[in-house]
Amino acid sequence: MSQKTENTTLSADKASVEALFSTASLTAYDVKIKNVAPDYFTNFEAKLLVQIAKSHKVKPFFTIPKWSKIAIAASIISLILTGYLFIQNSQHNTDLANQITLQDISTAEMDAYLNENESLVEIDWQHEINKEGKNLETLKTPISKDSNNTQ
Amino acid sequence: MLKDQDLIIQFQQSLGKEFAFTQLVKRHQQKLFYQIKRMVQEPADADDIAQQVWIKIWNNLDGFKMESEFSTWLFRIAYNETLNFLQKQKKRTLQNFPEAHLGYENASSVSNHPKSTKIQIALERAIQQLPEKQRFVFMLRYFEEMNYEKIATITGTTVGGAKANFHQALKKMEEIVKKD
Repeated sequence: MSQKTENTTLSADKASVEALFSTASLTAYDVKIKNVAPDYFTNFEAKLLVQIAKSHKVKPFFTIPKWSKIAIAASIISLILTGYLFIQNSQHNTDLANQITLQDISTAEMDAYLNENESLVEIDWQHEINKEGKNLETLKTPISKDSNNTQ
Repeated sequence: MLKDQDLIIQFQQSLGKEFAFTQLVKRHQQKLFYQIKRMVQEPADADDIAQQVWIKIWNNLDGFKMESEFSTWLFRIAYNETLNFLQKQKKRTLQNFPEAHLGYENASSVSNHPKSTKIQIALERAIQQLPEKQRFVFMLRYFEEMNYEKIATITGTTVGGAKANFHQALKKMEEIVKKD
């Protein structure tokens, strides 16, 4: 719409209103609206800046971006889950060990185990005997009554 | 004197934000305040709403793309804030005074006053009884002499819609005056 047309339309609209209410009453109405304290607008600016400072959110010194927060949370959850699974697994192995009874082990297995370990035990005994310097044979000599005889 | 666009750029580039903002306030605050006060009447309420509007401007000016004039955007925010306020006020009034929905009864009877005062009272009564949107459009058109394109953008309607709002307001005011 051209400015001329717009001005014509505006004039027509205003004339319609003034036909209903006098120009004087409309002017008086607006004067009443515009009746404010002399320093109202000067004070308004200062007051506004104070309000803005108050309402303006204070950003924390250290902020974590959103994706980092998600990554940290996922890491913590993974750690907890891994720990839980580890503990569960350990308990399972212990339970398994406790569930094995002698009846479950075959004779052949037991013999094999004893044979291996028996030889180890024998070596230990021989070593102890040599260390003490006692001969098995001397242990067979009967002990005299006079046990305090040192000769 | 810097144009609105230059002040906005200055604000957005943080080259003296407060200065740029204060200049915008100085330039537009009076028109804005008067428009709000025409709607809500009480100076204290108008003051609160005006502050809310400017705080929103400060918080969102960085994202303002200058697709419309600054004043259009400013009045759009004022329109929303004012209507929100009036809606809340209406709810509070109805809760406290259930008979309030019957109409504007505060003014004394028109017939006992001199003619000029009669018209004054009739005008105030008619304005107050207009639906909020029609009232806002009427005020912008008559007192601010704003064109319909701008009014349409501010009120979120079409040019035809804005024209219709104005003429409906006029018709309603005529009916109210005739009743008196």
